[in-house]
Amino acid sequence: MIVAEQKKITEIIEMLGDDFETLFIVGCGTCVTVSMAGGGREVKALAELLRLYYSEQKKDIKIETATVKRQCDFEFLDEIEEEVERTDLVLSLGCGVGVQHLAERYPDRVILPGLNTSFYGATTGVGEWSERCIGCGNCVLDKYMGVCPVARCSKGLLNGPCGGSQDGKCEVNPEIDCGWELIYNRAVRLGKLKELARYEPPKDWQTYRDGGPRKLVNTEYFDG
Amino acid sequence: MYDVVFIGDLIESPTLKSLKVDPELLLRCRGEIGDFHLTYKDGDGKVREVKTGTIVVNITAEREKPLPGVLSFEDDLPEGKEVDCLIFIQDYQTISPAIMSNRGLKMAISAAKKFPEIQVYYFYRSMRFIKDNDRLFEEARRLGILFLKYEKGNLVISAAGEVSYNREDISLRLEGKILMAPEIKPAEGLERVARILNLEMGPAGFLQVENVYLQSTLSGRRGVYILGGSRGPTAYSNLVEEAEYTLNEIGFLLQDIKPLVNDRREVDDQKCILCYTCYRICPHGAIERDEELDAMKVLNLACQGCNACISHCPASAISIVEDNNELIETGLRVLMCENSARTAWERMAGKDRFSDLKIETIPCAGSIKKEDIYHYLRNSADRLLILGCFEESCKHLSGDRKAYRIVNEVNERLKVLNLGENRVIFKRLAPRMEEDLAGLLSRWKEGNCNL
Repeated sequence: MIVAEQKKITEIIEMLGDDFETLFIVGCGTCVTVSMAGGGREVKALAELLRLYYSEQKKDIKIETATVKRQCDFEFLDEIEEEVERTDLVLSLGCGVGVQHLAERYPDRVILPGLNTSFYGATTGVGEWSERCIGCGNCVLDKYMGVCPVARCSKGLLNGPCGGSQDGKCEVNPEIDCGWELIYNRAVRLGKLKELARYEPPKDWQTYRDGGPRKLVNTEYFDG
Repeated sequence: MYDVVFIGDLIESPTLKSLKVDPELLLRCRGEIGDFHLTYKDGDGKVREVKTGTIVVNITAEREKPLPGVLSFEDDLPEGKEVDCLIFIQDYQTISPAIMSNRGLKMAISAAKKFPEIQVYYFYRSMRFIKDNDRLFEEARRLGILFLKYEKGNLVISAAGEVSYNREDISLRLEGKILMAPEIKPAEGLERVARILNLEMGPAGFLQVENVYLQSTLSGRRGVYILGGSRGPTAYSNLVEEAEYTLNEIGFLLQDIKPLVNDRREVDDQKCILCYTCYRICPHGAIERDEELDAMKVLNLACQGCNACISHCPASAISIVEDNNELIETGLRVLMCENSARTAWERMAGKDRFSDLKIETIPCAGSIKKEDIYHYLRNSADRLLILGCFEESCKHLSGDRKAYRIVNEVNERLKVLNLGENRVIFKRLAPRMEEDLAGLLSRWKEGNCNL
């Protein structure tokens, strides 16, 4: 899932500026709800905090809220057309995709981001998420025992660990597990250590962002 | 339908219909007290489901010798002929439970009797007394066993097995046969069982959570009990008694299972996104997935009404049916946990002094929603005081920690926005602290934040 965190409240207020009377905060009911950054709860709490702030500033700001199922599909954005049309500013608590999709759907409205989109990750504890994939477009997990060296080695090394691996931790930050230690341990457990001995040629990064913004077409469905 | 399923060792009961399930073969647990559905693999590898009213986790703990090559309090005595002395050591890594001292003392006594010519030393950090430990201790001393108390650091065992002991007044170097109290460690599969049963883990990986509401064999989940080595090392002191009263309690409970709370919590299946936050944070294992609706649901017999699920649901999908908890707008507002501060309030004399405060009872400090805090503050509640329980006295196990985190986050945001400091205060109280409550309320009323 896409993991995000809310921007600092001071940054949000600065971004909103002074030139508005109505604000519409839109949450997203999928990934960022799970990562506790932009679901119904956060939308309501942020709205209440802003109401409190503006009322103490003696500013008469009207704030409306909604949380759509997914900001990255137009059908859900259609549901909030009325609210968007009647407000000066729209603050999206979706990921970067949601913000842009809202901007595409409502070209005449200013759409602002309330979150910082962080990474694709898994829930590793209550209130904790960890990066597992960078979306390189050419999955190599079969060769690395189900642990991605591209995402989980700080240096993205494909042919074994660097010299900075110490006691299973990464030299970049001792909080980070060495991705290669994880790969090695799983290989031992699966009895496939030999498979790690083969040489992996340099990765073709054209399927990643190096080939420019990506588009994906499923020809079974696509009728373009 | 069984009355009780034992995960681990079965304890016979003449009145309860029981079944034993191997912890390694347990796959899934659904349902709640009175109607748990357990899925497990039987001996032939076939997947089975059974229904049971209650569950008892009774898995023997692992015993580990603190050092390689030494004898354990649970081994047989050595022949002894070839050694100069026998050295008993307990509490080497962690303090040994009383039952281990009991074994050690008995063993040391038989050693002293068997080899009167050999000196027996007994090193300990803390001697815990149960049953006849004090009598054994006395007898051992009369037999000439030398008891030496040590602190971590002043007893060192070298790789060659030489024991050196240094205190201000005594310095000893001993070579002999070492006998040590084994370390009691959680069984390997215990964490997995806890995950399947959705139980909180206690310290050191055992299942006993330190909390006044969870005396000995109770888990946070209604109808799930923990016995013996699953509970922790101290359980070994009263194994038989604990098993007996737990099975009695189960028999009594199964006669009539009533909900513990009157109002029901419901999940809006259109809003629920199955993020499992409620499942993970519920201290009572009272939430599971409704597979037909593909949404989470609250189990009403298991629910203990703390409302942590409501305040933490990222999708705001959970609410109380017939929620009459509308936001009343007044000046100074105090939210009191019904299990601690509210009782203190009831006991407190001179409530008139605080007639200007709006006192509200909440089921748990962890039920407070941040959006409600902001709402209160905006609607003329100038300041807010939230009174919850002390750690380990929270009926819902972690409500005080949840409240603390929420209040902290709120105050941080208020501060950076210059909306004032300490407008929301969270304090911990016990039910019998009515005098403290009176003092605290007077100070807070006058604007003093240093409570």
